[in-house]
This record gives sequence, structure tokens and C-alpha cells, in this order.
Amino acid sequence: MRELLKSDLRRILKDKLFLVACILGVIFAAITPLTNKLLVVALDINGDTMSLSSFAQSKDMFFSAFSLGGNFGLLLPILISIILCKDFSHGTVRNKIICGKSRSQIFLSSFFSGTIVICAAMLAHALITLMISLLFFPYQADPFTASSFLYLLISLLFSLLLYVFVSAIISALSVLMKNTGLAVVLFVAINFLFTIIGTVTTVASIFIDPEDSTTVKIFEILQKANPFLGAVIGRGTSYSLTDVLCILIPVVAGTALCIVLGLTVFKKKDLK
Amino acid sequence: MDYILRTVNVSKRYRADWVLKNVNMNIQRGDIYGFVGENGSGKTTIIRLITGLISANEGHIELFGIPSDSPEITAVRKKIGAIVESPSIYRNMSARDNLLMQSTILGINDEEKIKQVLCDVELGELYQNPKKAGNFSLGMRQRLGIAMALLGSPEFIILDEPMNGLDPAGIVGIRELILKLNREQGITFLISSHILNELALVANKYGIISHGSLIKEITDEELRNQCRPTTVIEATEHQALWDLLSKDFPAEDLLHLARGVRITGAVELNALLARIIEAEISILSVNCYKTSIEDYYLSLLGGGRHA
Repeated sequence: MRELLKSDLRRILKDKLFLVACILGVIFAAITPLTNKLLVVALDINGDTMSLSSFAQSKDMFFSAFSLGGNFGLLLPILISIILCKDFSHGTVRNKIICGKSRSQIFLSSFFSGTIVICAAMLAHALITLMISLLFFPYQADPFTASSFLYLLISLLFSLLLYVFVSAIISALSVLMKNTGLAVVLFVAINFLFTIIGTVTTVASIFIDPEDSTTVKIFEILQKANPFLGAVIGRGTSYSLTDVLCILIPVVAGTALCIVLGLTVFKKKDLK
Repeated sequence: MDYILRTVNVSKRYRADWVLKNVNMNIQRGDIYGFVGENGSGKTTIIRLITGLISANEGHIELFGIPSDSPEITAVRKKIGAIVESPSIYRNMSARDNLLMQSTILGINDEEKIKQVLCDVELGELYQNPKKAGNFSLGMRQRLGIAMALLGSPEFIILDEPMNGLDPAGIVGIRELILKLNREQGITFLISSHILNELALVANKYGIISHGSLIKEITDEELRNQCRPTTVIEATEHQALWDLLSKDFPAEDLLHLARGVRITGAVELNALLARIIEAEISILSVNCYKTSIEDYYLSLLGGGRHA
């Protein structure tokens, strides 16, 4: 397994697309804080207004960088899924089977290597975003305390868990489809579908009667539990138990489902 | 007998089409098994089954005595090296990087071995060359694929059309490499090829497959006995020649051609020619040749030159 993981990591890191992803990661990391700074300058927003606006806080920019529907959050999994699918389209997955590696090992190695690369790249992208944004904006409106640091760490963990889920989706799609184009299209479709559902629930919640507490609660949970909406992570100062459950349950269940699906399908799949 | 591979009543279907039907194939240790069949006959499907890329619908495979449904089969595959259809290489990597990837998967970290296998397939000059494998010629890719198959020091090597895309010198090089590995290291080979006469220069056993069925397994010696010498004599008076030869040879060994007669089997040529001349028949031409594996193969498939 360790040998497979090493070779998969080497394969991903040696691919030109990974270099493209790194360049895009840096460009997109710079775009958000620079655009926000431009807006602040262009609209001549003073300090009082700034303290109210979320786009003028480094914390928000940092956690927005992890957004699944955002620029790099959408692009990176697509690029990694193309690299993972190459193992099937170039037939190099055959080498692993002929070398006596089990299909479970091959799938898990692909998933773990994808996860490591995606999480590391997303973390680097978010940290660069944070560093650039800190040049122009404060981290948050309130003073940075020990609890803020703890919140930052927990939020970071949740954000990375989100990308473990994404990695599980693209690993499952790559073995299900064995075709780069189809895997990418399906991933984008899944992403768009959940983003649309998230938008619909958000819009619908505006029109709900605030007196109807049950419906309000249901819509709140629907929004929080949508991993592609990123409605909770890094948006406040602390997490309630409902928040934690809403973040963890879909992500953990989704990851487990994708891994089981990927393993089951790959074990039975005929390879060319 | 020490069997490296046995397929027992193996059948495979894709949807409703049976692409393999009850294939029973036996390869012993030390064999160079030539696998012969027309396009779409099922050669690559068998190779995929052996290498674990697909599974059989019926029957099973025994690799080094381990049945394919045993959990040990995965570990046993470490003893094989294979090229299936086309070499599985990383096109964005150099030859050395490809071999490094393969050695990482195999869990060996031996630069010397990488250098050695590259030299074995006459790609030694590529060890330091950063040229990407995607820019290699077909022949170079084929050789790199063979180098990758050799890296794990396998006991059994499966080569699917290894001569494809190779120039004449490359074909000779691969042939000599196969013979050397078989002779010096006792490596068993399963080689599928369309270039039958080329295969005949290395193989000592043949499996002939047609429409998903293994129609014949034959040793080199048996094949040599099957491939009898043939003599074609053309004459102006071909009817008279036919009448003369009909007295001396069994009917099944003779074939009346448009301008002469074909005799299958050994003949005392000098004596025969003397008799023809004595009968005052004017000989136009005499051709002697031995039927090849190609002739034998075509005759098995029910066509071709073999009478």
C-alpha cells in the first residue's frame, strides 16, 4: 500500500496539470484580496463601514478560499480528477494489478493520494489568500483571542474534511467512469446540483414565516448540512452542536458512501 | 508436471456474446508459448484474464498452481510481468522515471536494475535522457514496456504482440532477448503474435485460438512433423506428369495444379526427376519448400495453401 501511495503521489506531482493547479492556486489566492481592496478604494469605504462589511475581513476571505463552489475549490478537484483518470485512460492501472496489488489497495491509494494533494493544495491556497489579505485588511473586526484561534483550527479541520469528501467523490467517479471527460462532467454536475439546491433553500428560507419555527429549523438544517454551500464553516465565532452535526454527518456519510461504492465497483469492473 | 499456467474450461462473455468458450490451456515452466489467432479470436481476452484485469464467467485459471478464486492469486501475480495490448507507460515521464514508478510499485529501489533492463532492451542511452515517453516511437515504447515487465525479475512474462511497431533490427533484438531470458534465467513466456513465422523462431509450444475456442495446442516437434516438405513440379505435359506420379504417390499427397503437380511429403528428388525425364516429359520448373506454421495455421482454420 505504501509503495502504491508513493507512486500515486509521484504521478500526481509530476503531472503538468498539477503545476497548472499550483499557478492557478496562487493567482486565485491573490485575486480575492486584491479585488476587495480595489472595491474598498474605488467605493471609498471608510473604516466604520468596513467594520460592518464581511468582504473586508481576512478571516472571511480565508474561509471563502475553501468554498467548493468557488473558483479554486471547483477547479482543483477537476484537475486532480483528470490526473487520477489518466491511470485508466493510459492503462497504467494495469501495471499495478499485474504487479500483484489488490484492487482495494489501488482504489484506496488513489483516494488517499488525491486527498493529500487536494488538502495540501487547498490549505496552501487559503494560507496565501490569508497572507495577501492581511496586507490590506484585519483578520476580523473583533480582537484575535485564544478562542478565535481555537475556532480557526476547528474551522480549518472542517474545511479540510470537506475536501476529503470531494476527494472520495472524484475517486469514486474515476473508477466508475474510467473516462476523464465523464468523471469531470459528473463532478461539475454534482457540484452545481448541490449549489443550486443550496441557493434554492437559502432563497426559500427568506420567504418562510418566521413564526413557523419547525419549517425555519428544517431550512436552517438543510442549508447548514449542504457541504457545497459552506454556510457554516468560518462564518461565526463558535460552533453549536447542531452546526457540528450538520457539518460532520453529511461529509462523513458521503465520504464513506463514495469509498464503499468505489471499492465495490472497482472490484468487479473489467479493465482494458 | 510443473505448470505455470492452466486455464480450466474458461469462458468469458461480454453481455450476450461469448468471447471465450471452454478454453483449456497449459503452459509448463520453461515454455515459450506462442499464442496464435486471428483478430478478435480472444487472445487478448485470455491475457487479460491471466493478468487479473477481467474475471471469467465460467471456469478458472491456475497461476503457479494457485486458482484464480483464491485470495493468494494477487500475491502470485508478483511473479509475472506483462504487456497487455499496448505498453502501459506514463507518457509525461522519461524512460527512467517510468521505470522508477514501476520499481516503486514493486517495492524495489535499485537504480542498477533500471539501468540493466534499459540496456537489455537496447534503450540504455535513454537512462540519462529526459525525453518524455509520449515522444517515443512505437518501437521504443514497446521496448520500454518490455523493460517494465522485466523489472520485477518475473518467472513468467506475457507479451501481447511484442513485435508490433518494431523495425527488423528491433525484432531480432527482442527475439534474442526472449531466447536469452528463457535459456539463462528459465523465464517462461506467453507470446501472442500475428507474425507467425517470427513466432516460430522462438516458440517451443503453440496454442491456436479461433472464435474464442482453443482449437489446438501443439509442441514445436509435433508441428515440425505436421509441416511436411512440399514439391511443386511444373511441366508442359502436366496430364502425363499427373498420370506418372499417381502411380508412385498416394492420392492424398498429390494435387493437380493448372500447370503441374504438387507433392506433399518427402521425395527422392533426383530419382523422381530422372523418371520424369525418362518419360519424356518437359519440366518447366521444380520448387521445393517446407510448409510453415502459417500454412499449418491456415489449414487448421480451414483455408489456405495446405492441401
